[in-house]
Amino acid sequence: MSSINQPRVVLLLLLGLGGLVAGCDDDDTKGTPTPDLAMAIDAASTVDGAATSDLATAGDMTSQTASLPNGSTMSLALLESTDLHTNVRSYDYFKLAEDKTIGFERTATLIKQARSEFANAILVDNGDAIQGTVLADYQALVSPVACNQALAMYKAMNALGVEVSGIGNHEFNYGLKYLAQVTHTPFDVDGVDTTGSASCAGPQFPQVLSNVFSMKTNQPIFKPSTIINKTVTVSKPDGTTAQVTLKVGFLAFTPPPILSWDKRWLDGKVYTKGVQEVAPPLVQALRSQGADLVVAIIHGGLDNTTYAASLENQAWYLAQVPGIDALLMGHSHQVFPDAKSAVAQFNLPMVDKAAGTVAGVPALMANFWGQHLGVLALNLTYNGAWSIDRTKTVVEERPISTTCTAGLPLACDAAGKWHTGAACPFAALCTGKADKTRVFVDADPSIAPLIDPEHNGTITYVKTPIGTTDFEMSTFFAETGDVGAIQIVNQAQADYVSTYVQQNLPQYAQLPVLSVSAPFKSGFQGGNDYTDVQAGGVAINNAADLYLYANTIYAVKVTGAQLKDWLETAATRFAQIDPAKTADQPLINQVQPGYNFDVITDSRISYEIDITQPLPATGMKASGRIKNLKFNGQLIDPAAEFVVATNNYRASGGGNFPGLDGTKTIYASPDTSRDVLIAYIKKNASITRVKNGSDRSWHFTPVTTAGRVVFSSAQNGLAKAIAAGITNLSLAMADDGSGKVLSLYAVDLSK
Amino acid sequence: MVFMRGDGAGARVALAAAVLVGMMAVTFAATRRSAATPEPAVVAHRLDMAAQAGSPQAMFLLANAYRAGAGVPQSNAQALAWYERAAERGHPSAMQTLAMAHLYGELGLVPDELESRRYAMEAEHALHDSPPPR
Repeated sequence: MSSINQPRVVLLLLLGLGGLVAGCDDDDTKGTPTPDLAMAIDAASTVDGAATSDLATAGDMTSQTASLPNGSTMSLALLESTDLHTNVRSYDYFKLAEDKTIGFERTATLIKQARSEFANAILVDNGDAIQGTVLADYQALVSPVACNQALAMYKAMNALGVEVSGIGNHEFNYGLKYLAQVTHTPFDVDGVDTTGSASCAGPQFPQVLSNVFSMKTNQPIFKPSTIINKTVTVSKPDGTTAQVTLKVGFLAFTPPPILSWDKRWLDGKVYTKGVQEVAPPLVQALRSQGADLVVAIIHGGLDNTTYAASLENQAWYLAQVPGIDALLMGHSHQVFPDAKSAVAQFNLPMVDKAAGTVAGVPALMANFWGQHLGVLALNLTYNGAWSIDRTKTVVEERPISTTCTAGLPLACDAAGKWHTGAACPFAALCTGKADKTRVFVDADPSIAPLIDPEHNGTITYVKTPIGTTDFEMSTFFAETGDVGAIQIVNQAQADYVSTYVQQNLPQYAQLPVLSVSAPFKSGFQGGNDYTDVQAGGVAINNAADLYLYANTIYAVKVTGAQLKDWLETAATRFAQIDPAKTADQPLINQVQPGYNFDVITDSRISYEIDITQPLPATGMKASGRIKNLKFNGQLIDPAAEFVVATNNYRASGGGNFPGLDGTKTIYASPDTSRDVLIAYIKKNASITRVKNGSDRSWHFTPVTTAGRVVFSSAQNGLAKAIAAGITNLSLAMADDGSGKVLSLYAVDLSK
Repeated sequence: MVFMRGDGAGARVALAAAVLVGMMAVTFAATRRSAATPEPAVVAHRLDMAAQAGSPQAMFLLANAYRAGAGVPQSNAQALAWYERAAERGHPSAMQTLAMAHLYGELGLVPDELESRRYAMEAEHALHDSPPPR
């Protein structure tokens, strides 16, 4: 049993010392801990007494606890959500479809079950709550939330009784003015008018942030710590129960790199410190204020590289600060504890990934997007002061979904229980189910109605046309030359990169900017697995169909020779054709997926793909298929230089394209290709076949074949191919026999 | 050299190993910059050293080499293992590669849409969380 009550410090002494050091604490770059006693005093003065209905006053606590007989015991569970990113519903706003793998409405079910299991439970959110879905953008940018309305995410958190939260890095993404409003926190920082924010609606729980300070005042911009006066049920030695108040202190940290990630909002306004500078005096102050427990929230993971106040993930160091009883982590989207985890940060010294401790301190991390609820169950005994029986601490992560193996759910133990011994909600769900079947907890039905207007408003926004198209944009025949669903992506990427290069990279400003993109959906899962945007209005969900993934835009600088190598690798999407063969031959080489079929769609570029040439031998570079690669009608000089807009995946080596290994990148944008495409469509509202769907840079090298060259695509497609100018196709079989609603088509390579 | 999130902070090893990472990273970067393209086996060997020392980008490229059989014997199992190690260190492209591999049943995997979704979500989160330096 370890004592959790520290020697009380005389507050007046702290006050005196604090006065002496105030104003000398603005250097966050030095490694030497510099206890900020002024801040500690500030912390000690922020006792929360009205956050939830079950709080009592400190005076009550003193008298009640003082009357407790020694040997009284209680259990207390800390419940953590983290990195919710405004995933209130189990819903994908780009696909406009339910996604049961995520969503706070499902975590809510686990929260309510945990509350019925533990008489004493405190629900904590770690941060990164207000950004990350279209719903978040909708409320911040499209239809800005009014001062008298809480954000949808906070409505759900309020309803579930979150009692304290940290602040993540993404809370800063929309700027300090917005953050002040939605958290009703009037920051006193230069150049930001937060007038009136204090009276706005928002979280009905204290929000804590210990390590971000105003440059104007040198004060923390949020409460640096808080004490929750929690009414708890206690078992006395005689078997009766009593209700007393437990004082639980909280401090919270966000990753210091916010200063670079959100430089445009934070530069010159706030500064950060690290855990070694900030935590010790705060813990001391919380103890002196009477905290029975001290819980550290950190929006960060574990990293044992040499300590610096600017380190992104400081939880490993925070756990070593004396006096912290529990550590609630986040940010690095992992599950902790997890005995099987191979994640490097959970295999560091002093980290017990099975038990869930860091430097002996119980710790957890609850994944992201509401996929897990973290449960940290403590057992405490009263002997003049509360102490934790660490032999009885249980830390576990409870998922909202799991898979079945041999009729049993992976998330539960063999007896169908959680580690705490409580019933696991998946226990009966796998009976009779095939291995790998995914089962889910139900959504809590009380959450969705809370945010109906915001949810429906977001869906309406996603469906609202941002432009029009005069043709059907599809990938049905992208591999036989239709660029209708690819060119608009290339145009958006090239426009974005070109603008950036002109404004920021003068050394490359004279180089031509090209773009490549691929048909991401190419029928693998059947006739519906194609990009297909109908003629008419183009909405945001259509843009998401045109650009399926959350890639970010990268620009690389390559030579003419490297560009050719790039296209050579893309051309391995096609099988080798023997013109003399009379039997049917497949067009597609299934080994090379469609998402690696990068194509250029640029009137300045032309090239042929000769698929009579062989595929490369194992381990060898592709070559020999790209012919007559020209820029402005001239064969491209192998030494010529180009800037090519692509995505993070390709630029860093995805797909193993020669030379693309991260070293060619000249610009790594934080913006997603999808967002750039949406902005481009908004700017160029009328999409036309002529302007945006007909710059076919590539053709097959003409060859007459004795037999048919065939491929599968969506049914009833011939007319669409013809409309796209692809006139060398014929229908071979109306149903290709795959059972996937596909037809077999033949392509005449002589035309 | 532009490194992804996790390449710097990802070298979660003791100081000596961290120095080795730096040396290896410089070595394989220099290799890739040199005019004469080195033999694939030489490249793979240097990637292996940098990967063993903790560089997520080297892990990712080494996985590519195993997948292609470039300079090392082709091995889907080795490729998967190195992609997973890079992904565990927050390498978005490794996560995206695994997302696609699980979706399409590449690298000898059985198609698993939910596992693919998990990696895609992790990649999205990783890309959003630490935008690479501008």
